[in-house]
Amino acid sequence: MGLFSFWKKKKKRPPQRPISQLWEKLRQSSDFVEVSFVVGGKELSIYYFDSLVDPQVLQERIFCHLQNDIPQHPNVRLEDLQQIVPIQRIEVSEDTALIEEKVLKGFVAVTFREQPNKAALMGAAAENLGLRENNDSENEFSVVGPKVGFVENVGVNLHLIRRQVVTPNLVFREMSIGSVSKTKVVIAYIDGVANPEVIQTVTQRLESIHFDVVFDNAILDQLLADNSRTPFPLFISTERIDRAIYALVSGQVAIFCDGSPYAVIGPAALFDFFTSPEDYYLPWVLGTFFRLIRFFGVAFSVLASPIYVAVLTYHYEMIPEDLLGPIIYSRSNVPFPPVLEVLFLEITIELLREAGARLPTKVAQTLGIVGGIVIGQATVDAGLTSTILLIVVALAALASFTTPIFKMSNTIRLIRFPFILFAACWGGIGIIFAVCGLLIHLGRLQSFGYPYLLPFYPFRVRSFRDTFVRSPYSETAERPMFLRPRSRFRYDPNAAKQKRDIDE
Amino acid sequence: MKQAIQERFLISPFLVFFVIHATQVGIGVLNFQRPLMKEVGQDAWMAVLMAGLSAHVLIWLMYRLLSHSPSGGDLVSLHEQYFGRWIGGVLSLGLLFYYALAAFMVLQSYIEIIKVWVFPLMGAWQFSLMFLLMTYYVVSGGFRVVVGLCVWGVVTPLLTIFPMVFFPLEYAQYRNLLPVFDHSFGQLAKASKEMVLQYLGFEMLLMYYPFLKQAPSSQKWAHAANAFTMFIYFVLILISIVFYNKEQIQHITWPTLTLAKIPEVPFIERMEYIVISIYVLVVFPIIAVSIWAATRVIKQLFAVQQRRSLPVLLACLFVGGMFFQEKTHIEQLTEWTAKAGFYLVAVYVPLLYLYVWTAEKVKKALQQKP
Repeated sequence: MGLFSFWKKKKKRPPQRPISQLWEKLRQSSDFVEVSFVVGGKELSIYYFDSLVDPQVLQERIFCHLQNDIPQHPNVRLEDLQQIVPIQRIEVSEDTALIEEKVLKGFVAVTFREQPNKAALMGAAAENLGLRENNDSENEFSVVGPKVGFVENVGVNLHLIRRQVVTPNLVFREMSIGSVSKTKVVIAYIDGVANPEVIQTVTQRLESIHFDVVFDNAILDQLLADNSRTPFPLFISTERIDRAIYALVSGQVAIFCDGSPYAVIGPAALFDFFTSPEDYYLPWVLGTFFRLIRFFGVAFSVLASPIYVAVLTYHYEMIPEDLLGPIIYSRSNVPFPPVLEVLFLEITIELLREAGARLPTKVAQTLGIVGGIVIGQATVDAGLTSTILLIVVALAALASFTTPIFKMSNTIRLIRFPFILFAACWGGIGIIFAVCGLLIHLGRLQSFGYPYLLPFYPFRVRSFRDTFVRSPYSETAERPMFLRPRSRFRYDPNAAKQKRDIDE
Repeated sequence: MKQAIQERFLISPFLVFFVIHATQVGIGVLNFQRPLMKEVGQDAWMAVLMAGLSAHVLIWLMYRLLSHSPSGGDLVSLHEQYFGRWIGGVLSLGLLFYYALAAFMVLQSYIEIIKVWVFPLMGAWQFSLMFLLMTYYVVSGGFRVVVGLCVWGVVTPLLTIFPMVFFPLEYAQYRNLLPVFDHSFGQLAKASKEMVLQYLGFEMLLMYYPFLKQAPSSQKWAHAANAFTMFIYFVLILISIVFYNKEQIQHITWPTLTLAKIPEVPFIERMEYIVISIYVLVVFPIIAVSIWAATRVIKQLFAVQQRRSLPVLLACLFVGGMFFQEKTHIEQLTEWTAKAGFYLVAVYVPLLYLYVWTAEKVKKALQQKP
């Protein structure tokens, strides 16, 4: 050993603290309870957090049995408690860190005087205390189809999934994330369908997350993202059970997180954000129609006000004579160039939206009426904007809300602003510049390593059956191949396709 | 020598269709009718087909050259292998200049169109800057992103611009097509030579060939792309012949754009503005692919990172654009590029193929006779 070896000396792991020190630390909290009593000659101590434990379980299962049954078994040890106390999976441990973690999660620790360094841990957590029992999937509403959504309790969510996917291949993998919150995070996939590479990527990325408190799945969503400098959501987050199950069945991976009523689903492609579960509940003709309406809505929402700016700033010649009259009439009082006019109205609508989202529901309704009708009418009367623009902007705002996934509708609202600025600088050419920029940006994005523009680029013809058109179920037996699933068909394609002759 | 390209950067063989078609159709589509009809009048469509067929032959030759070279790589590594470091290097340098020139020509020609049709008073440098900044954004995303842009650059114009050219058929005079075979073969050949230039763009293949998955199997897609380009030129020339008078077309600088003025819809006029705007998506892939190819040559030749050479090259193009403001300059530039492209594709590549073929034969003969 060299003279200066103390420089190199690594920090030793702290020696394990005795269990008494742990109790000492936990006693600082007033909700930490310590009960000691003697029964049948045994000296017991019971430790738990009053705020975490379900009192009924504590009294009926633990106290009742300990007090009644221990006198009959004088030589009972901690390890034998499973025979007395009717609680599943009683764990006996000497590991102070483990005991600490469990007690902080609502377990009850029981110690005997003769075995001072050991504790039996019994789960008595009040799982649903303070949480919603049900969720009506209000944020992703659909008229047809089930209304039950995920809730904040991950156990319930897994139950909801397991009830519809009745196969041993459905795998849940649990891990704990967050140095403070120790949140339970579950990766769900169907073994034999999901691509193992994806599962590996997801697991690796989740394992490498360092964070303190995971409030919601949305945080995981951002920490998992391939590219954090994009306004586009790279994973679907849904509170609908049917959507999550559909994703699992197609070969995607879902991530659940305790405390969040949303499931994060990846790898996701741009098109996934514009499909609604309702498309699948309606006849395919209607489903396709509504889906196309939605795509049109997105295009309209992004392009309408930029086109207004471009045409009225640079390309007056494009307006036909009959239309020119009304436009001149409605714009004759407006003192601003079209860009300012559009920006003014767009920002007004953003303000209304933001205020409406932050206010209590009842006030928000009033605000919507005041904002929508009064302000709109007043700005036109005051000559701040033209009536035509008011219609264009209101329609564009309406169209942007047709997107089923909330995150995507936010993105669409944001990306129109660069479009407006480009249109103000270079007219129609500017709009196409912005379109090019958007296409390149989308082309560069990836979700868990899969190109975001799939199946459009790289082009996969067969996967187009369920993008713009929601094909009938006889055509969609095949899973979307761009996810590289391990098995190809969702159900028997031939049985689905069987055709009978006339009068047979 | 050079390390193989990782699989995740490669593109599927059928995507070659989009790359080749996107790079072939460019500025030339807007005004190829005029010189062609000056030469052979109503028989111009034959010249289009003849030139298309010769482009097929050249593509075939290029695939032979690239797939038979033992290095299996691009033209730069082929040069190095057959001509050594110095002579091969000089030849590759020529290739680099050609790619840069092609990008520059397309950019300047398009800006000229913007200046004439849409924004006569706006500084050309703004457009140049926007294009080059976006080129940086695409090319720095790698070849896959460039190809993605090519896909959009084929699909979008096909769905939006292409249907517009059929509107003038309302005023068509089908008699303009007669008499058929009114010109000598010599005239047709001369016109075809002129026309081959419009098919240029597939020479970028010389650089991106190693980026194709199962490269030899992509050949059918390359031919399909060329056939599709031929189809588009063919439709355009037919419509131009039946719509324009032979004398009239000589006074129109961009006959295709004038065709786009014809469609009438109730809520919009002057459709050519839309065409010119969407033409960004036609022009942009060409610039992106050529710049990518140019930086790739630099990387192979001087071992300079593409990330470094890309901004320098773009800055050069931007500064160069300042000196090409006159229409005559741009016409001159187009002529140079056309000549360079013609010599590269129709003269140099066949000669090179001949050389490589002979060299391989000789090598084999020497090996057999120990």
